[in-house]
Amino acid sequence: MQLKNILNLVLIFSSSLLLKADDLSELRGQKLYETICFSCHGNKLEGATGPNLKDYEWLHGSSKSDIIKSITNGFPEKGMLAFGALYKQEQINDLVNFILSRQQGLRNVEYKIFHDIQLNDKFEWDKHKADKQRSLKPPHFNPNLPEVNQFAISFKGQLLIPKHLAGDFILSGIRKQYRGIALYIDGDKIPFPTNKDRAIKIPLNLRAGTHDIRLEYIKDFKSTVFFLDLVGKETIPLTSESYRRSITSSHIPKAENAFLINRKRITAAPPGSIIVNHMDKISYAIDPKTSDIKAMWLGKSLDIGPNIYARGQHFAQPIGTHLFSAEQSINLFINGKAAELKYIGYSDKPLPKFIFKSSEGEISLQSKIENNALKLSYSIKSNHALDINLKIPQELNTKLSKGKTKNGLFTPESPQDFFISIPIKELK
Amino acid sequence: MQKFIFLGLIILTQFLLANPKGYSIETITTPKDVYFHIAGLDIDKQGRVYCATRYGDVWILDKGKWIQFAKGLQEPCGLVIDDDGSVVVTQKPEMTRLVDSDQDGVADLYLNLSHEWGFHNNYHEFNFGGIKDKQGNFIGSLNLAAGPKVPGLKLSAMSTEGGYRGWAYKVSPEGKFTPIASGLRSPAGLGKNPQGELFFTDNQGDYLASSTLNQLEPGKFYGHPISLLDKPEYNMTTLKNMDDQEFDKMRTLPIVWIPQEEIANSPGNPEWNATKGKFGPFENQFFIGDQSRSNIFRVSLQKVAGRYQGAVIDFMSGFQCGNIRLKFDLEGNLWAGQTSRGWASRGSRPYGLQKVVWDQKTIPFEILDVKLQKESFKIYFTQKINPQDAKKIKISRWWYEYSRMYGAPKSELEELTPQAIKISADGMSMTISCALMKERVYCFDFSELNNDKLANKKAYYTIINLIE
Ligand code: HEC
Repeated sequence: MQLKNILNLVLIFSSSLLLKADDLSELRGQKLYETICFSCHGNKLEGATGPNLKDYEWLHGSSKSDIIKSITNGFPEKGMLAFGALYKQEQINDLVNFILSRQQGLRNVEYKIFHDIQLNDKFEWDKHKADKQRSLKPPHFNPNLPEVNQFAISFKGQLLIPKHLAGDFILSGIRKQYRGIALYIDGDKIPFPTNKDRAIKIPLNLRAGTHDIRLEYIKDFKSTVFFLDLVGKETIPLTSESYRRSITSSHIPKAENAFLINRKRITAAPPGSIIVNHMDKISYAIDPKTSDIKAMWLGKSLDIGPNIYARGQHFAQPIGTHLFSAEQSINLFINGKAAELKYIGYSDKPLPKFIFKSSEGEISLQSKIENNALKLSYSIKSNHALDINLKIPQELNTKLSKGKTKNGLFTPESPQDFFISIPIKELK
Repeated sequence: MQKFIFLGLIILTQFLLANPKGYSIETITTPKDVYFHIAGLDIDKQGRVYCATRYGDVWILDKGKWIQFAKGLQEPCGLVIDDDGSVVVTQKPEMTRLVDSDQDGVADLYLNLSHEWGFHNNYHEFNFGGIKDKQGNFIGSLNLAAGPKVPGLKLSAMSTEGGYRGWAYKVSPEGKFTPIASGLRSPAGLGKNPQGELFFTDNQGDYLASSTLNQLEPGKFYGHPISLLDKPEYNMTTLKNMDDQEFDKMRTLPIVWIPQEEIANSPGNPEWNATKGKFGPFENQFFIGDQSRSNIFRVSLQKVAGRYQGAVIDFMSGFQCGNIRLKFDLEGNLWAGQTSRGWASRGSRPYGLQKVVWDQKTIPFEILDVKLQKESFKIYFTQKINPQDAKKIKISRWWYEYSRMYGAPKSELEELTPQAIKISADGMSMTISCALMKERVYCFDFSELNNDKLANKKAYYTIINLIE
């Protein structure tokens, strides 16, 4: 065996040892991450209360020493402890190694715009001087950047593939134009379908590490809709439309110590229903057309992410355990009939209060938390005596104001003011 | 040095975009970490700027500070400040009056003005608003539904389950709901002129070859047939059996066609310039933003044979995001509320707020207006036109066919040779005689002018009626 080969062997051997040491540190970092950091930064580092830790954006610096500083000193005023007081230097080092090993997606992308270039122009990218050249932030390819009608645009940058995602991907997307788009990874042209098919689905194998990536785009079709994702164990967005769609994950408004009123689409209640949450503990959905309480659940209010990203095609999701089934509801009866009410509106001060009118008078429904229960108080103002009943789902655990209950129909002793109270603790 | 380069780039893009001289775009910082897709915009007499966001908030910009006035609304797409200081917003399921009853600067009453139309939870069932008419009614317009699996009556792309989808409506201050007119598709912008006449824009798509500006008049049908489902004389079966020619005969033509890809793809609200010269020479014209191309264009009206028609001229491009709402403030600055969510727009930002400011002195060289005359057009400029340049005008004309196709190309496109060109004595206008024909869009193109001073080089005039 030649000396060179031996040297090579030694090199390979020692670098694999080195890798092992790194791997172990990352593994220890991951363990630590999964004990505490995940609760704010997400299981996959995708971010929640705390920011995403695997993408292009760093609020406090992206270098190893910056990240060590972020973790050591924390951001106590924003809820993150100074972990320097809790962990040893090596542990913080492990955490940083873990975070760095998970970096993924596009970085350092530059774009160039060439005005008035048509698809049929036999355009040579290298020979033209760009009309505009900048670095791209966020770094996702965005063919909507040019402000002129006709153009060519190129993007050039790096693609990070972390070890745990390396291997098979599907390059998946939607394009409006089938000509004029060319994508190169490490200098190889990716074979997009040449027919008019709008969907792109191309299997790719990508090793761990940094890849050169380049996109060339000459506008052909009138609108520049362009989705492109690398779909593997996780999805890595490549275009700005894909990126905007990827942040659809979740968006949960918090009531904290107070209450929250939100009007969003949910499947459990009719269109136009209003959702009230108290203290991130219990929610109900009221249909303002009838005053019926159509749904009630324990826990946080809603994930409105599906409703407020992209076109909002999807329903917001109640979070938590429903307290009665979908067919059930709490209904008010006046003189033996389902109340026919005109919805006046609601007040949110000091408490949520829904106001209705009927030919019989004015009716209001107010909610609050009292003795760790949701208390729904009805108040009915009328000039004459009314026969009032409340139909309550039998599966709902309640405490009621004075009155009689028969077959799920509650008759309050005092029809002007009565309440129903749903304990929060006694989960079913 | 860096600052210097940055400035250089701005000037360069302004030049390339051929924007009118003397006008600049200023960006307003929106509240940090708040999704600020603006779809409702109004400004009160103290100059406070009210924004309704698609997220569901109302924010007020008061002396540089943002205050959250209301929250939890369902994608409001219109906002108007009422005389008593309350705010009327059009949420998807409800027209709502927001009242600050305890005067602490934040709304505490969310009162139902009306919810008398059909809302079926489809994402496309927008409810546009932001206008109060002379009688004190609040005006709204109800978008049709869309999506691959959407139920209801569907003859092409859009769908309705009834409840006055595809209609404009009014709600009296007492809450009485009255449908006004039908045949609307995606009527994303409502406006009015100082006489109180009402207008709406509609977005290109099925049954709409290109986007339009229309006068909103009671009882009229503007062309999208599925809205007829709410008229007693029609039902699903009759409408499915009718052919497009029948609908074509019933429809009211727009004031102007807004050429797709040349001027706008998704126009927002028409905002009348009555700033008394504070916004430069373009008084008494509509300014309209485009959500897709992120520009602002102008429309000037002319009444011929009892109805409006007029001219479309581009104004300004290069905004950071799609302009869906425009509003003049008291100083005559033009504010633009922006969103790109769901429908991509040009520019680098997903949402935002910008304003156009005129320097109060520069009169840019622009095509001011185009008017139809008995046998000619008269084109007005903001500065003198060189007679040699004037001869380089190119004229073309075309029409847009009515069909269920999703947008349609120009039909019967032809080039015209001017028969005579006459420059006025003051050099500020020219008369062009050429073959005139009703139901044609005429394009006057000064691209050959060889004069970079003229920023926007084309004007489009829609002839609905000729002058008898
Ligand atoms: C209680 C929630 C919470 C927990 C737990 C938490 N963080 Fe954070 N973290 C935050 C917030 C909030 C910020 C952002 C501060 C800001 O906005 O400036 C942050 C910021 C950071 C940053 C800087 C990010 C940047 O963009 O510059 C790093 C790195 C980080 N956290 C790492 C960790 C690690 C590692 C752990 C576990 C040991 C952890 N965090 C636990 C809430 C948390």
